[in-house]
Amino acid sequence: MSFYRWSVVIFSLIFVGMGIALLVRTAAEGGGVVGFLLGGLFIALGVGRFTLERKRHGS
Amino acid sequence: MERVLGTPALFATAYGNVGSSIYYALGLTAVYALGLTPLVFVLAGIVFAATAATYAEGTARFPEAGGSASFSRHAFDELVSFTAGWAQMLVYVVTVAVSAFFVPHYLSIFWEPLRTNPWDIIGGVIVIVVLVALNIVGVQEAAKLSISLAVVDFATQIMLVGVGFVLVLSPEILVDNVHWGVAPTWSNLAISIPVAMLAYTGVETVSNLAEEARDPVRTVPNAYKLVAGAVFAIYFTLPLVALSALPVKEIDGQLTTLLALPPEDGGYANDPILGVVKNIGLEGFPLDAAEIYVGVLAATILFIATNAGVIGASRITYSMATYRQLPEALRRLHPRFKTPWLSLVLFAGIAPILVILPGDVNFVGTLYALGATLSFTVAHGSMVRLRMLDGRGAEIPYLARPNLRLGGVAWPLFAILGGIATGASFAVLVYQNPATRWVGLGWMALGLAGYVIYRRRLHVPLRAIAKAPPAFGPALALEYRRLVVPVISGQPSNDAMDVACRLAAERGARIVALSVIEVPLDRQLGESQPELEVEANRELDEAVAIGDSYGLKVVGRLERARSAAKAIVDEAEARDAEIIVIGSPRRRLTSSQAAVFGKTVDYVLKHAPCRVLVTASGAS
Repeated sequence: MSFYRWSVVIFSLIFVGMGIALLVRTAAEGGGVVGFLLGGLFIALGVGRFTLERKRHGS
Repeated sequence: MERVLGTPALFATAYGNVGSSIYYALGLTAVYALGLTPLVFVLAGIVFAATAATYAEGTARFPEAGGSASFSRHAFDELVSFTAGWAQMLVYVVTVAVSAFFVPHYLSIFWEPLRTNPWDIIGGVIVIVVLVALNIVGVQEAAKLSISLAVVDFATQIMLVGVGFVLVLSPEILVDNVHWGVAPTWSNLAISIPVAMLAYTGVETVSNLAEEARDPVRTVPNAYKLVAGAVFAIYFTLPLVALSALPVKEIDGQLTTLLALPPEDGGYANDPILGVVKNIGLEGFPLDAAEIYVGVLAATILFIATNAGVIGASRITYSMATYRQLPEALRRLHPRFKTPWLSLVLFAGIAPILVILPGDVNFVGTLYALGATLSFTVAHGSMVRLRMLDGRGAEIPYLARPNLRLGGVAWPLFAILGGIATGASFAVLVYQNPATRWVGLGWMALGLAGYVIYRRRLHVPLRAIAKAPPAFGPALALEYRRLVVPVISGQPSNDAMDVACRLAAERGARIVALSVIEVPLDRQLGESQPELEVEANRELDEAVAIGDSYGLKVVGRLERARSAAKAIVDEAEARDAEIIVIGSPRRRLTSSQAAVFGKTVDYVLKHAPCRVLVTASGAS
């Protein structure tokens, strides 16, 4: 796998990790629309980018 | 630099630059955006993504130093190109100034007065003087060290975000931070978006290195995409942590954040990341260790970013003087060190020192934004114009997206939206900031006046392209400094490389080993051809190794073209080559050799803009 594809996978994981951290932290603080929304968007970004890369290279 | 500039090296070098700017941009943006800082970084990030797309396509298309100046030369004319180049020069001047100015701020962990005037000014001046002197002497940048530091920097920033998310992030505080129309005021919010673009310093870096990239059509866009990803990961998240750790509150009857206040008022505008570390929820030894680590890392990264600015300023000067946009004297090389000493002293030394002398960080930030927004607007405009000139069926090696096909033109939506955003940002800065307006526009007016006078003296029209003769003066009979050597597999190419190295055996000479993949008409130019690419890269590696054995710098370049011969001639023209050294077997050509060395040699001999030396392998 090329450097570029590795990097895309790593970035996707980072985004998903950040999203989860945001959701957990928001829940621990007693909830809040902004926190849940941001967390969801980060997870969607990470999963979306990863899926796109997989589709593009068919693996 | 690394001998082979691929995606990793381009990305690391660019992120080394872009990633350094968070150390000052966070505080400068917070001064204007207060609680809306995270949102402002998102908006500026969208503009950055559009700008990166424009630079990716433009650089893949014209892999030469100059960035927006180069795009506008191809799209418009020399006058527009000068405007873009001169604005870019201002960006480099301010990059040097702001990076150097913030080095002492982060070193204040060892000596507190370095956070404030006049010690930060003195420290910044020392950093600039040292780096200009080192660059005049010609000390090679330790590329591997820079790349390693960029990786450490990115990892540290991610770690900081992670720790911040766990310890201090509070969505509730982030919401409470916002006081629409009051803190920040609407006018400050309007200024904050262009100022936040300061965080994206370095978008030009990849363009300026493109001449040395092996396979620009592939590596340049990938590097830009990765930088955009990294920027997204850090610049959209670190401000969330920062504004949670240092929330907006009433201080001396004013709604503000410590992130936006100067050190005299107990704030962290001069060292925002240290401010975040101090308020991230750590205590005792972990806090002390984190402060020292972040302080030293930030100072080192900023030092290297200053150096990148110094090199950038000298490169753009050289490029502009080559096109008769600046006087010849500015690209004249030092007789002993072979470096452009005058441009280094003037644009990387004196000008940045003048910028930091007032000791006003906000002025420096807005001045940068003024130059950058003008330069980016020209780049976006050039991209739109190039697409219009291309028309239907044009072959573009890398097509950035999204586009809208209308009337036979693939309109680049990213460039149109990016251009509107950067143009509007430029207008806001000019309208709202008197000091920046007069200094920035004064710089542009001074440059344009000088350009007109210089061109008139040379009797060259303002809009015409006029290339200056080689800076070294005429080469000696058998000593060349810019050589192009086409390579394919086989002994003739190796022999040609060998001859080229002997001809070029002199300090400062540069050989470009060129491998051309001929793409049939039924395939797209940028289409992947793994087997041919592997072979071409192997040949280029071999050429670089031959150069190494002579102690010479060989730049490997992989081109995709319909005709190898035309690609060789174009490359020689673009690089101002003094000679093309091309190998040819004496007899019995294989089919692939015949394709390249038969018709190709003939075409090159007829069309080359320089001398051509055909080397024939020894008779067997």
